[in-house]
This record gives sequence, C-alpha cells and structure tokens, in this order.
Amino acid sequence: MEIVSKNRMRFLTIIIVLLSWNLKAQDVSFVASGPGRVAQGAQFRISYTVNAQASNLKAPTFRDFNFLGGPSQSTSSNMQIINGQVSQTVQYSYTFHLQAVNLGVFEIGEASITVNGQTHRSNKLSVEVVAGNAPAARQQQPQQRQQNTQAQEVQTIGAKDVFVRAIASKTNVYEGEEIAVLYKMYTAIPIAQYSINKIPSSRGFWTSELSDRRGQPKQYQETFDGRNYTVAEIRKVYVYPQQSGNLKIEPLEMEILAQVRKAQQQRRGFWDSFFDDPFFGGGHTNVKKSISSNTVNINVRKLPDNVPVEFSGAVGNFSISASVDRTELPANEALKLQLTITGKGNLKLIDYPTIKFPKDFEVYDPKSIDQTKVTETGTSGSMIFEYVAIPRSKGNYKIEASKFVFFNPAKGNYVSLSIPEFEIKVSKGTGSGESILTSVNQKELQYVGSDIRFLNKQSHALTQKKLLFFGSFVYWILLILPLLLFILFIMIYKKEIKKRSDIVSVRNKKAGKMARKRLLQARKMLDSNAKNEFYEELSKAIWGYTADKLMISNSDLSTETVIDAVKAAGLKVEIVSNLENLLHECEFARFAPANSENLMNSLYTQAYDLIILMDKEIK
Amino acid sequence: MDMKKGIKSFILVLFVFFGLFAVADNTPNATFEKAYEHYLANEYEEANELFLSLVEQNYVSHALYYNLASSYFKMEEYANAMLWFERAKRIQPHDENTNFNINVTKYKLEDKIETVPELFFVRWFKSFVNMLSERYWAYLSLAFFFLVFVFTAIFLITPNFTFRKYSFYFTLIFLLFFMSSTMAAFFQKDYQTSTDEAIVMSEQVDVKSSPDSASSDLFIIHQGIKVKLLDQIGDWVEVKIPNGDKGWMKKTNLEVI
Repeated sequence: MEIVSKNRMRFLTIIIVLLSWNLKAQDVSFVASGPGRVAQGAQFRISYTVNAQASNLKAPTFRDFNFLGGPSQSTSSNMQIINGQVSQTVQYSYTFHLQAVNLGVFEIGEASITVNGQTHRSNKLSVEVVAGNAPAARQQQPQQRQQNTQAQEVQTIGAKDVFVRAIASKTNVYEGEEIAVLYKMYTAIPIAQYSINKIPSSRGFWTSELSDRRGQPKQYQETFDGRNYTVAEIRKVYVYPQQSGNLKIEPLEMEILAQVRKAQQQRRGFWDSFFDDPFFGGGHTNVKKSISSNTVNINVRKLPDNVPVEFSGAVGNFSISASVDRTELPANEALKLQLTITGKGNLKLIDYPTIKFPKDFEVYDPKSIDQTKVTETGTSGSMIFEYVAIPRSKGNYKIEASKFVFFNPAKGNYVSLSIPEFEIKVSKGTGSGESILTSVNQKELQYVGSDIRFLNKQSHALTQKKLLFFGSFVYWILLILPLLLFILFIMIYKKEIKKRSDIVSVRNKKAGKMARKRLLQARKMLDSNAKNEFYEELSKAIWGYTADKLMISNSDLSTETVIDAVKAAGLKVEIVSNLENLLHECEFARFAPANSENLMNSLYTQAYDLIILMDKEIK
Repeated sequence: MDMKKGIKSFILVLFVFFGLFAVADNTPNATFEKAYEHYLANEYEEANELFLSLVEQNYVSHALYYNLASSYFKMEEYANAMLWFERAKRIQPHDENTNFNINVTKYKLEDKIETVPELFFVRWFKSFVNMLSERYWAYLSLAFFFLVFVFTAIFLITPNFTFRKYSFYFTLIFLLFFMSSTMAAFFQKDYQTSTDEAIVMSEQVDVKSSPDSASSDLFIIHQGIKVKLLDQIGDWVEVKIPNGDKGWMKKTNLEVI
C-alpha cells in the first residue's frame, strides 16, 4: 500500500475531471501529467489518467529518478442526465512517486495502456531538476525547525540522542479495523532540520493520513528511559489491514540535521560567546544523520466465519439512511436513490450496497460522494452513494428492501442495518423510447394512430358451445356412408351381371336341345302327313334356335334381324344364304296349295343339317 | 276441416314465435343487442359487462368474441383485447377485420416485437387453411368423398371408352380435393382446439433462463404479447415470443387462448 496524500490526489483528480469535462465518453484519452520543474531531492508525482476502464498499464522506467512507489490508483466518475439520456465519464488515474536525484533535464518516456483490447499511448514528459527550492515543486518540502531549547555539549550524535518511535494504537486487530500509528521523534539535542526520506510502504495495509496536518507538529517534553526528551509528533496515520496474519508496518526513514557544538577550546570574547549561542548557529556544525523508526508488528485476525451475504467489507460502527428523490414519476425519467453511510471506520473502503431495482429499470453504477474526514480520532464522516435508475415503462414497482452489513470490531460481531423498501409509481412517459425490445418495422407503421374496425352484427341466434364437426360422430358416419353405398352398389351390380350371363349360357345350352325336340316333333308330323303342323314345328325349330343362340329377344324376331345377327356372329356366307333360303322356303311351302312329301322331306333334312352346322360354328 | 286445423296451428306457431320476442329481455340475442347499443353510445364498460356475461354463459360466436375484444380495446385493456381478438380469430380465421384489429392492438402494446417472418410456403399453406372454417372444410371433404365414389362407379360400369377415361380423371381429381379439404379441416380443428398459444396478462414479466425464480433473467416482456407454449414443469411454462426468443415464466402470468 502506498502512502499518498489523499487530499491532494483528490484535488488533482478533480482538476483532471474538470479539464476533461468536454471529452466525449467514447474517445479514450490517456494523458501523462507531472511537474515541469522540481528541486533536487524533492519528491514529486507523475500521473497517468485514462477516461475508460483500462488494464495492463505499462509505465516507462523512471531510471533518472529515485523510484519511491506506485502506481496508486484512484477513480472518479461523473454522471450527467439530460432528458433521460445518461452520460457517464470515468477517470482512472495511476500515480507514481518519484524523487529527483540528479540535476538536469530528463525525459520520461511514454506509457501504454489497454482499453477494450486497444493499446493507447500517453504523451512524453520532460522534467527539469534544478538546485534548491524550485517553485514548480508542489511536493512537501523538508520541514525546517530550529531546535534551540537545549544546548548540550555533544560532539557526535548517539543513537539515544535522537530517534523515532512508531506507536500503534492496537496491535491485535480484525481485518479492516482502524489502527492509528503515531510517529514520535525524540530529541535530546537541537535539530536544525529534518525530512522524511521514505514513507513506509507497508504491505497489506491501506493507509490514510490525517486530513489537516498543517501547522506545527505537537511538541512536548517527555521522559523516556530516564532521559528527558523533546518529543514532536511528526506524523500520524490510520492504517487498515487488508489481510489477516502477522503484518508489519515498515519503518519510517528520515534524515535529520542536528546541531553539534564545535569542539573549541579557546575562550573568546563576549561577542564570541554571544555568537556561540546556538540561536545564531555560531560555534556549531550541522551534522547529517539518517534515522529510522522501529517496525511495528500487527496481528490481524480474520473476521468471523459466519459472513452474511450482504457484507461489503465495512468495519467500524455505522448508521445508514436511504431516500429517494420522488416516489411518483413518469417513465423515462431518472430516479435518484441516495444512501448515506455515516460513522467511524474504513468508510472509504466500503463497497456500495446492492440495491435491487425492478428489472424494468435501467440502472447505472452509483456515484459515490466522499464526505469523510481523517481526524485525530480516525476516519469519520459519511459516504454517500447516489444510485440512478430510469424506469422504462408504466406500472407500480417496488425497490426491494435490502441490508447493509458491517462488522463491529469492538463487539466482535456483524451488525445488519436494513435499507427500507420503496414503492415507486411510474406513470406513462412522454418519450418515444419505450422498451428494450423496441423495433417497429415498416409494415406495422400503417397501424399507427388507426382505430379498430367497428363491431360485428350478430347475423344468427347465439348458440352455446358446440362440438366441432370435423371428427365428430356425424362426420364419420357421413364419411363412411358413400363408401357403404358404393360397396352396396358394386355388389348389386355384380349380381345383376352374373344373373344376366347365367341366362345367356342357359339359352345357349338349351338351343340345340330345343331344336332337336322340335325337329323330332316335325318328323312325327311328316310321318302322320300333318302338313301345317310340320311346317310350324320346323320353322319354330329354326327361329327358336337362332334366337336363343344369338340372344335375340322374341319381340325383335324377323327374317332381317335374324340374318343381321347371323352375319354379325361371323358365320360363313353359304350358311347365311342357306338359312335365308330355308326360312323363305318354309314360309312359301306352308301356304302353297300342292306339296309333295318329297319337298317336306328335303326341307327337314336341310333344316337338320343347318342346325348341326350352326351349332358347330357358334360357340 | 283439415284446412281449418292447419290455419289454427300456424297461428299458434306465430303466437309463440312473437311471444318469445316480447318476453325476450334476457334472451342472449337481446343481451347482445343491448350491449351493441351501449357500445354505439360509447358506454364501453356497460357493453363489456354484457358481452362478458354472455361469454360466461358459454355462448360462442365470432361476433361475440370480436365485440367483447373491441370493448376491451376501447377501455384500453389491450391484453384482454388481444386475448379475445385471438379467440375470435380461432373461430373465423379468415375474417379480415379481426386480423386488422389484432394488428392495431399490437401497435398499442408496450413491446414492439418484430415477428420472425414465416417461410412463403408456410404462409401460403396457412392462408389456404384459413380460407374456410373447420365446419365448411369438413362439409367439403364429405362432398368430395362422395364424388370420388360416384365417379369410380361410373368408371366401373360404363361401357363407353370416353366416359371411362373422363370418369377416371374426375375420380383422381376429387380424391385430391378430398384429401386437401380433409387436411385443411384437420388443421383448422387442431388450430381451434390447440392450447399452445397464450397472451401475457401481467403488466410486466421477467422471463427466466430456467423454471426457477432464482435463475437469471433473460428479458422482460409486457402484457398483450402472444407467446407459444413449448413446455411445462409445475407451474412454470417455457414460452417462445414472436421474435423467436425462448424462456421460462410462471403460468399465472398467462392466459391460454
């Protein structure tokens, strides 16, 4: 931990912030700054300031100077809200402490830093080191002091003549507990001048110096180890251990210029003796001596294990108050919640407590306002955290109650303070930026400002909930119905066809039989010489046979239809003509007056042969 | 004698018919009319109450849902308007006014979520299915099925070659028609009975990454957004919002369409 003058640092940062006021947040600037002129032996600071979250700082080698410490980091942020638009500027500065050693003009090379993966380079600086008191050196000057109270006859300075003691207020503490460290310089000889050469950098401690350490250090007489000393409280700091274990506060190194009387034996005149008076410095020589204080061992205990979740590292004794600037506001306007932590302890090291804002709020990192003071009694005052949140839509919201937990080292327990719940009523905002998901496409724009269409008139009587038709019982029935009808139809149709084909085959088969029967009858008639009956039977035999065989219904029977049917059946031409002849002759002979038995016989034989022939031809 | 009897019964029927109308103050249609008049007179709350009472009595019609939604819209209750417009759409998907009003209501909502456009054939298919309601698709499917068999029968029995040829073609065409109308009816029914879409009713909901209130918030949506329900675990449901983002929320924030 570096010991830096907090006050000045803050002052410097504020200046930097003011200077960079008009910087846009997007532009990364990385600037080195430092004094142009310093006095030889003086301590000074080189600061690197960057306005964005950065990492990987690579500093130049300060080889021309005595490197005292660093970098120590500090952050400052500034937030602006204009019409719900939030812009935030952040300043991170890294400070190095150097001491000018040699006279001359020295250049400090550029440093580099990485912001969002990009490397930025700073400007170069040149520092002129001059002899004596340089006006540009703003650093602490060696404090001069004339010690003229005691004039003692000492030739050399013993360890007991002048020394520094570091006194810690406590040596057995908890992590984060405040410890006061007082550096007392004990002198038994007059001191012309003293300067602190090296501010101890004690690992594991965070140090803060007293805010108002101007003016003379406190001086008083004290007896130590049986000897009377003039004591000056040259320095007082408060340290806060950041880790547990046995920690050491490193010694303070300083240089003193002690006045030692010259070893003069001869007596001189009045004036001589007058000038011998240490007030004039006559008869004395200044002797330089480096002294350092003792190391202080501090035993730091770990905080108890039952750490509450909300614990944010605060150790001391605090109280908290919270307020919102308003409880009713339109959407898209900023709501401020202020949290003030007041008390005594490591105030500056407190992390801001988490406030659970509703999800619909846009929340920004809180701004912290440091109103602490380091006084003789320690760090006290208040840290103010200002949270800014912007509700994005209408509604009633709750900022949930939360807790601020700190550790009280005096009692050795955690203390939980509650931050109350706030109810926020957000009314409709005027801004157009409505929601995170906002994106209106062109197609939707046509509906801007349009109204819905008018009501529907009921055209039929209202009915109560009914089942859907598709898939209902009726639907399936109606679906199966045509299928059943079809099957039925096909079945009937097939039966009919079969029936018909049966009739045909029967007639076909019976044709020959019937013809034979009739021919037999005709024979009988011929034998009994019954002329008319013979012709009737004979023509019946021929007609019936052809009708049955060729599927001609009886009503259609005529000579022409029979001949046509026979032709269509594809019989030989001679059979067709024979048939035609026979039919004609039967008609003719039937009504002829004279008929011989021979003719009847030949007609019978012709008909008989023809039927046999046709039976063979037609299948 | 018979003539006299017929006239008597006709008069009786008329009497009953008009009598019903005379008494009819609390018949559903009269309530509907009353609500309609309230709406005309810009008394939206009264209209809303009456329409809602009909809905609570299980009356169903596109007009009823549509009008209820309109009254909600006028009362600036856009989530409810969205819900009932969507329900009206379920009954008559092809109604142009309903679709227009849904778009107008969408514009009134807090979130303007860009909908992921559907593929052209999905869009075509949907507009085809939405041409008719489930009932009419079902009627059509029955008619086409009947025609398939008519032409099959003609094909089987006709001896004429040209007839056979054409009846064969018609059989195929009607078979195709039958299949598409049945499919459309099926999808319509599926659409009407599905419970996989819901409207966000809570003013504002944090959508979580998993069904657990301690899990991290993915995004916030506001009332009126139509979401698709993907999964359910206990009283948590996984939803998909129109822009394709998914997440979990409590079921109580939703009302299934």
